[in-house]
Amino acid sequence: MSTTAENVIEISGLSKQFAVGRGKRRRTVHALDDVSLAVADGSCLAVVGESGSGKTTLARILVGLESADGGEVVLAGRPVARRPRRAERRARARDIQMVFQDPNGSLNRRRTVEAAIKEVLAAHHRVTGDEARRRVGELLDQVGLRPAHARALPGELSGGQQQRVAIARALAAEPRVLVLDEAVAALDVSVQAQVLNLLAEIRQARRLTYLFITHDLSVVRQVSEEVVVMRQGRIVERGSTDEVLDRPRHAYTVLLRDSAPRPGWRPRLSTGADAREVEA
Amino acid sequence: MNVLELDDVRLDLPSKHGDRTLLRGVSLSLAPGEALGLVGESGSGKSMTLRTVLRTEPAGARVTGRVLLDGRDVRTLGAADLRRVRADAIAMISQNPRAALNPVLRVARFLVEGLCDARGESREAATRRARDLLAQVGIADVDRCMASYPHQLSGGMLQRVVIAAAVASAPRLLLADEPTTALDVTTQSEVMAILDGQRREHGMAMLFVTHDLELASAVCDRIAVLYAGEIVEIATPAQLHAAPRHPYTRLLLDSRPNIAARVPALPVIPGRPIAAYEVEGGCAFAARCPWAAPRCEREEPALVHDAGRTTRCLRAGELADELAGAPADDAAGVSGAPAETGRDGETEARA
Repeated sequence: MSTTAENVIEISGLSKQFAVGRGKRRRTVHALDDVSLAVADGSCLAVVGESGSGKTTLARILVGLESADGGEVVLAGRPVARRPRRAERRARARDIQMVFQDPNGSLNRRRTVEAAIKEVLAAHHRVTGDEARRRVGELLDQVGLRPAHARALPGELSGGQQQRVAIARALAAEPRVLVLDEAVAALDVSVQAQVLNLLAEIRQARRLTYLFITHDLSVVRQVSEEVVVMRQGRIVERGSTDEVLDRPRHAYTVLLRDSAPRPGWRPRLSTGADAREVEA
Repeated sequence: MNVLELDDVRLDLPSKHGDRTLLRGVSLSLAPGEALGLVGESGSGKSMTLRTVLRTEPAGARVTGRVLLDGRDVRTLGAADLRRVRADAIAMISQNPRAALNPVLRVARFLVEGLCDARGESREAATRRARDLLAQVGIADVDRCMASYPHQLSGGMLQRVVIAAAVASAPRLLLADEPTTALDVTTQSEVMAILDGQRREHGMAMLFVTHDLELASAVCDRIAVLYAGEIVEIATPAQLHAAPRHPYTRLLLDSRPNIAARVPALPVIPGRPIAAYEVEGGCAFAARCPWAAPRCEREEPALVHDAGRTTRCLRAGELADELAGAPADDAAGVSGAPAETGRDGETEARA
């Protein structure tokens, strides 16, 4: 990670355990195991991994949906308390916002697009009334939606439009950091391209920092300058995107890259990939 | 004779907004042992096409056209014949293997009971075969797998069990509906390798539904691209990558980010994919097509077979060169037809 630019996120020694199973089968899973990471202001860092890698837990701790068991998070220069007070949580929400894979799950289906965005404007910036309506219009325009969409309910929108609303809602808080957790994974190919381009434009225009969580190495190549590869709660490799994708050092990164379908690709049996044979 | 032939299959589904057309006349054929990919975005009708073959379309749906399995129309079969076809001639693998297995039965019982029921084998013979099948789909610890309940197995393991059950009755036709979409990429690669190997070994034809053009290209002999409830192009993977004939295919290939190189901005198809019932005369893709001419909005293009290519585009002839022009560096990466790069055994035999 770059040390010359200011780091907007600094994570050191982060750990998180979950207890799974019952009775004799009860055991502890290390969702995050001593993870340290710095993200330079204005950069886009991709976090790559498969299920169980800890990438989503990392994101949830960053935005405050989950608390860590150990380690430290410094966000925009301020250490994040493990059990933050209400005011601290509010302040954090102005620094960092998250967009999830399923926009359906993050939008209230009974509230119009306008109401959903206004709520964020009122909560974080005390913007209401005509000013709020004007800002909603601006935000919708930025994410490529029409003014008429303000009165729509999420159910009346396509998946791509819903994801644009989720992005507009996150931007309404005017955060410095946007955490995108598989935010384009559920979109159709043609819509995915639109949203990826949109996210790139927004980052440039607003000088935002992205933490782009994905399993898709093609998306990584397109969006990020740097990448960390996670497996079973640990970072196994990190570096510039071109370096990691063109000259991976860790065997798991090689496996991930070779598993991605592309022209000329054939599916292969690789020993050890499916190590989770029986979940005890 | 073709294993499967769909002839102008239309599907209309009544809804509170009136009848909604989901398939606008799908025609395709599948030779014995051939793998055909059905590729499209959401609402294109790829899964619905598959469901007309097993006759598992939603209740109330009206289906017209013929679905010939070994020359017999599945759509007109009586209940007993339909049951026999579903048990012996066709196997289905869906996205969610958990839905295919009974959650309170161990894998052993699920497999053995299936074999006893379908083939009238004795328990001992069926148990032996079940163990063989699991070993064939790459399960290392057969004992442990046989003794497990579905919830104790990972998605990749379960999908292997479903593949083992599917090939057990050596069906003529395998229907696979996004079989690896819910799996991690590394597991997807393994499960696809096993599915591909088993399919070739048992000489089964496969109709493979996926949204992933590259995945389909890797395991299919031909690919049918669907848009708004109809096929817009059928070609081999090599033809599709080197010289797509339909604008939608070209744009679909281009708009996917490339793992090998970054582009300043991804080529974009404006708008969103539409469903069949949203088509208003003319070409279904015209509204999103950068190459659309005025007549594309009036005339409805037919699926034209010409010189080994099948395309539904009024301007296919005039656009052929332009669409073939390689925008990215992906055309170079396509090696020969899938048949030439088969299982490990085949490659070794040739070497």
